[in-house]
Amino acid sequence: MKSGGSSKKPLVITLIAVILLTVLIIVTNGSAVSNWLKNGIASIVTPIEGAAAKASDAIESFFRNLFNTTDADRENERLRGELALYEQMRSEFEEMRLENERLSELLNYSSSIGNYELCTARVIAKSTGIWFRTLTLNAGTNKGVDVDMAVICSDGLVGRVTEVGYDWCKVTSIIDSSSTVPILVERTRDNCMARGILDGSSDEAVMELYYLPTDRTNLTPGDTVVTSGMGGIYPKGLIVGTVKEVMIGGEVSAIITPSVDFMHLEEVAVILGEGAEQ
Amino acid sequence: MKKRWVPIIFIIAALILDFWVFDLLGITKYAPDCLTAVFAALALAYGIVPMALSGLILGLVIDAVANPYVGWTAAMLALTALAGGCLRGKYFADNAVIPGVTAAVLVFLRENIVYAFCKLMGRQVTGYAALLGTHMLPSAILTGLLCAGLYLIARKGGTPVERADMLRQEED
Repeated sequence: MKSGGSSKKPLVITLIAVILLTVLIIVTNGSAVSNWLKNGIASIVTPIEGAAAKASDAIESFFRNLFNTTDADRENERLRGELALYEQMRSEFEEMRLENERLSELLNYSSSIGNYELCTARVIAKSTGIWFRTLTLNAGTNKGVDVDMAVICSDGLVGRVTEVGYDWCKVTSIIDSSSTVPILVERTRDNCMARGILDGSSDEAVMELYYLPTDRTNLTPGDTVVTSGMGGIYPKGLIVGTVKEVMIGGEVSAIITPSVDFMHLEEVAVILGEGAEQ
Repeated sequence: MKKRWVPIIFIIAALILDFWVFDLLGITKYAPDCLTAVFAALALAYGIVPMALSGLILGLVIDAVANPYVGWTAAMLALTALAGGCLRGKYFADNAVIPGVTAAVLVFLRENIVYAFCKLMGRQVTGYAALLGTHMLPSAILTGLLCAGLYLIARKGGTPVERADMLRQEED
């Protein structure tokens, strides 16, 4: 038995090594195979992810209602304990009302930034860990979404589409450490850049403001920064965030707090078409 | 028959914690890597092949759905299964310490590799010392502790491995 196990070990290790190498080849061999694989898997998993996201929202909403009631409500609910169906309907209604509110806010915001064609989508997955900040949405080429389209929510700019499949797309958020956004300071109209940063010493997601001309440094904390429209990806005027801290000297001029709460993103809108050129 | 559900329950619980609970609580930075802990513990209990294959498949699905690089999670879970599985049946590994240390070291190494990868790719990542103190070490230690606990549960809860026979054969 022991000898059998030992004789199998090299085979197993070789097998694992071959599979690992294959995986690494997929990683490094460009987009064709990788996209095919992603399309295949994601097309199967996306509907499941969507259903799971709805289920988790329903559970969250139920508990929210449960803990946010008065004594009288709790007593009332206890007495009406058997009317579970009604409770479920009320919960669903509440969830729909909240969703309606969020979508209305999103619509109001999107109409305030210009006459863009939008596609609303739901966030169905987020990248794990702290290193990458990407989101997966339940809209893809079936709804006209394409790579490099800007994504917004009611609070401002979320990021841009970096991968797209038939009914899904991946969005690299503006706080990802690979993101750069051409911006302008709303008050002073100074053009500069903002980039996402992973800072080990900071607990919250922040961005750095850089390339600000040295003779234009009258930034003050609280200044709002918006997209400048340069670069052809982000339309002009989308809120990026506010200046949190001004830094004197060095390449980085300020730290920006993003306006979007990336922890609680649910519905977003993709700006269809080439944003900055519309 | 019920024993077959142990790994499935562990993996589902790890996925819920990693993808939903830690994110909801906003503690992703300090949280243990539950999937790594589960795969290290289960590889010790069930062996390399089933866990490496499960890791590859599950990792590919996770990468395709949520991560920017395909193969990353798959390779890491398979490597975890390989490291854990290599210790299977060894008399010195049949305790809480070795699986825990294995999982902790794997997470620590992986996070350092990702850090180096991010730097090479030109990503804006700063403060290695701070990341070491606030993310890498806490996450590795918590993963190790979780893995140790899971291994004890998997062993006590009954795995398909007949441990007594295996250890006796090892001694022979």
